[in-house]
Amino acid sequence: MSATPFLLDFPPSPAILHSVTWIGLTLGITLLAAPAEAAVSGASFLEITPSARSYALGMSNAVSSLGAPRPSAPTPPTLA
Amino acid sequence: MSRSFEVFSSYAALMDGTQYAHLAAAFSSGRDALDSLGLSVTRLQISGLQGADSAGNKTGDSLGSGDMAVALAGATRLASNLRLGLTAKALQSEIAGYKSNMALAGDLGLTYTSSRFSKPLSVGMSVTNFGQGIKFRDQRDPLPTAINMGLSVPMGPATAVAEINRRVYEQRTEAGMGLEYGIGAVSLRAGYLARTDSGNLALKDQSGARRVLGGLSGGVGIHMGAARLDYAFSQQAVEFGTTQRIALSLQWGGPSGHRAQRPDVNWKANRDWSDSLIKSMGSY
Repeated sequence: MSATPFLLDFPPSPAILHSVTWIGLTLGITLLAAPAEAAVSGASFLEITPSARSYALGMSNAVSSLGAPRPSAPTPPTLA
Repeated sequence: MSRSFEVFSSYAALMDGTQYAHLAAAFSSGRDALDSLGLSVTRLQISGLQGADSAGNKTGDSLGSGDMAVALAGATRLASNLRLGLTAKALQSEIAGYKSNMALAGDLGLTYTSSRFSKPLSVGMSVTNFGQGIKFRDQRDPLPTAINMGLSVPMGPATAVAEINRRVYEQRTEAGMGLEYGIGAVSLRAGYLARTDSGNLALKDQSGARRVLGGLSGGVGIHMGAARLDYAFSQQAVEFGTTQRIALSLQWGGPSGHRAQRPDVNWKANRDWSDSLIKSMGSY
């Protein structure tokens, strides 16, 4: 494996940070401005996490998204 | 970093005979450009629903419904501590033989692991289930889009996790926390999920104490070589009984896998912190 990261080093360059910030802001504003619905019935099964581990740790998708390291094992993340 | 392959299957017996099944497979190339690729199929099946006419009068008929999603996920490493992932999925629902449109949706997530401390501290955020809504005839319902932020912190032999999720269309917030304690190959888990909504019908007529207890969950995980078996339980309302889940995963290759759980004093030097893959689809 190369010692050099594929796309960028950390911390990222100002250009990358600028792009990520604008993408994040645009996405955030779009989502936060979404109209409220009394209930979301469309494909609500997507809210069910398939991970029994995540379910036991608070019934959340975000736990599995984080890829939380297991006890005594340094196995951090992947993503969402 | 070496190549690895993983399969994951999960089954849940939910209330009133509702069955949930999930099957996923993923491959990790060990390269930064496209670190992992995964494919998953999720199915929810409900049977024995009572039919009713437009006025709400029961017709005596029995019907079923089903939902299915097929997802393709990829993950890349932007920097040694920073990972990005994207999932694209197609989903369709069916009620009493009537099928919805084929909706397209996606997840996008970013995680960062700090190596400035003695233990790997991970933070992450994601936007899940954004895309087209499910449409039956003239009615389209939005997907359960959510913005999620979370944190995981190793604490001695345990790992603590905390998170907050914002449901975009329902405009409600959930906060969850959990603790996992490892004893050899066995992991004991407990968690709690707090919701701000009042729309959970399972808790509608429950007492205050039962509402509080409804957020509790627990479980156990066992590692046996390349295999990992996870079991979890919770109870949302007394009348509905306990919800139980079981998941099995197998992994081949890779330096971490599901092998013995022991401290790695050189974890900062080992870039292959992630045992991948399936986590990129929320399966882990």
